[in-house]
Amino acid sequence: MVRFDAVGVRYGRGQEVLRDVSFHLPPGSFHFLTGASGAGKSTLMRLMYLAQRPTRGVVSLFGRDVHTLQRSEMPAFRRRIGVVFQEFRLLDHLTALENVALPLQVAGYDFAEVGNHVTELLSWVGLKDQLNATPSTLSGGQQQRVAIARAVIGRPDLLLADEPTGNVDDKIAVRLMHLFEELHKIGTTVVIATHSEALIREFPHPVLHLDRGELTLRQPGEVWA
Amino acid sequence: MKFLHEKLAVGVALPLRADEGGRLLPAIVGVMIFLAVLAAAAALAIGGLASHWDRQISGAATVQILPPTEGGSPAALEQRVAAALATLKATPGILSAEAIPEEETRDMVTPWLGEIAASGNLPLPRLIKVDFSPGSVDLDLLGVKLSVIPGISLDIHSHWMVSLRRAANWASFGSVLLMTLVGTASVLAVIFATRSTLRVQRDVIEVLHMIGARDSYIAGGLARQALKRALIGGAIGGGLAIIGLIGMSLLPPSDIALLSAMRLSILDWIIIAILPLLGAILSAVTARVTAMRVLARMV
Repeated sequence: MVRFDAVGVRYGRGQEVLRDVSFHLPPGSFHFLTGASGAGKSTLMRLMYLAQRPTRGVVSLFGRDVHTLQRSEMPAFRRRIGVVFQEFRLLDHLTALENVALPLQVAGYDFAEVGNHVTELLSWVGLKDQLNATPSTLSGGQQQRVAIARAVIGRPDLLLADEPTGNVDDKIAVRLMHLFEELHKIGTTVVIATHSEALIREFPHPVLHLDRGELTLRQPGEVWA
Repeated sequence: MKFLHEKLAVGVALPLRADEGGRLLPAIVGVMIFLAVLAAAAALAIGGLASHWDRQISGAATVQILPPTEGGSPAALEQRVAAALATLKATPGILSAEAIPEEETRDMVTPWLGEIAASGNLPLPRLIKVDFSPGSVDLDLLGVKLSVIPGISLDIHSHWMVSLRRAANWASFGSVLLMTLVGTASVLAVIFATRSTLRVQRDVIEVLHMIGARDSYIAGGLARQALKRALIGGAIGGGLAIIGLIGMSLLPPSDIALLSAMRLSILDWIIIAILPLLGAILSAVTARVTAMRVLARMV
């Protein structure tokens, strides 16, 4: 599903923010991604959702080296990836409903076919009364839930979420984690970047840990250094 | 729900209403279309006028027979007129040849020569008005045949057309050049507005790309917006220009002689009315091509 081989990323002439990163995420796996601020988590996520390319090494997604992807092939690849951005990145001029429907609409679905599905998902994440609210009128937690709904509406093969529970209360956080678990059960490969030790303890999955650009893999229950 | 569906269906995923550069587009296109319509009307009217003149005089000629020198008899002049008429009428392709009565010739020159012409003391040439089918008469051969008659000359009116047509062509060229400049300025304005939008909306575009939007989806949205804005501008600019043209066409003929001679045909009016639509399509195509090129350089 996702394979990194000796991947390095450098911005300009600075030090490499990722160094010799190699790992493989099998289809249907669930991983947390941890690391201190500046450890390279965001860069690793950007590589996985095709927002940038590595300076060196090979990144493979769905069996294809991303270097060999033509521009015309990118949209189809990206539609297989759901992304929850840390800063949400909702479109401010669209309502919650429109934001969530957007991935389906750009994929060519008729809203009449998917409207109920979108409404149902937003209701499920607790935003039934905010369907027509624009992001600027929603709280941080509500925006985060809209962002998560947008990421999962297309039932992606790969879900990448950057701190998806950072702005919600514990009850909603658990609810959202169960949503990710459900997607995982139906075959979605999930990667969640988080700082929450509690979350990692409650949902025992392997952890990709980044430290100053270097990656280590820890299995559930493994003692942290 | 229906509203949402329609909103998304037209690809308004970019917040274009807040786009300052693009909001000026209707005004820019409006001014450009206004100028383009006037330039096109001028080009079409001048072309029509030249054709009108062409049709009127391309099959016409005048034979002039000078009066005999002092001491010659008036009867000799009449004999020459008769000989010329005989030659003309025997020439295939000549539709009519008619001697203009001397009195009529006098009336024609009196405004320029004054009473001396009207008095009859001034010897005047005799004129024969000739009509022929253009292209069916060998005018050089006719000239040679007529040259045996003393004091005769053949004035082919179409020769005058060369300079008239040259002047008309230059005027038309000037109008077409103006239209080209206006079109180029419009294209540049659309390119600038599209690039500005893409720069301002870079974050939104990246999100659209990340959720799987094709470049053509984003470019299509920009093209539709440019089409809408150019149609608004074109309708206002083109409408005002057409109202102005209609106003000029209603002026009494004596007010502006040249303008009254420059009439637009129904086909000309159709072409003029289509110009704002063509301007809008050009704007949409320009926006789409520009967007596709800029987006190809993005992630």
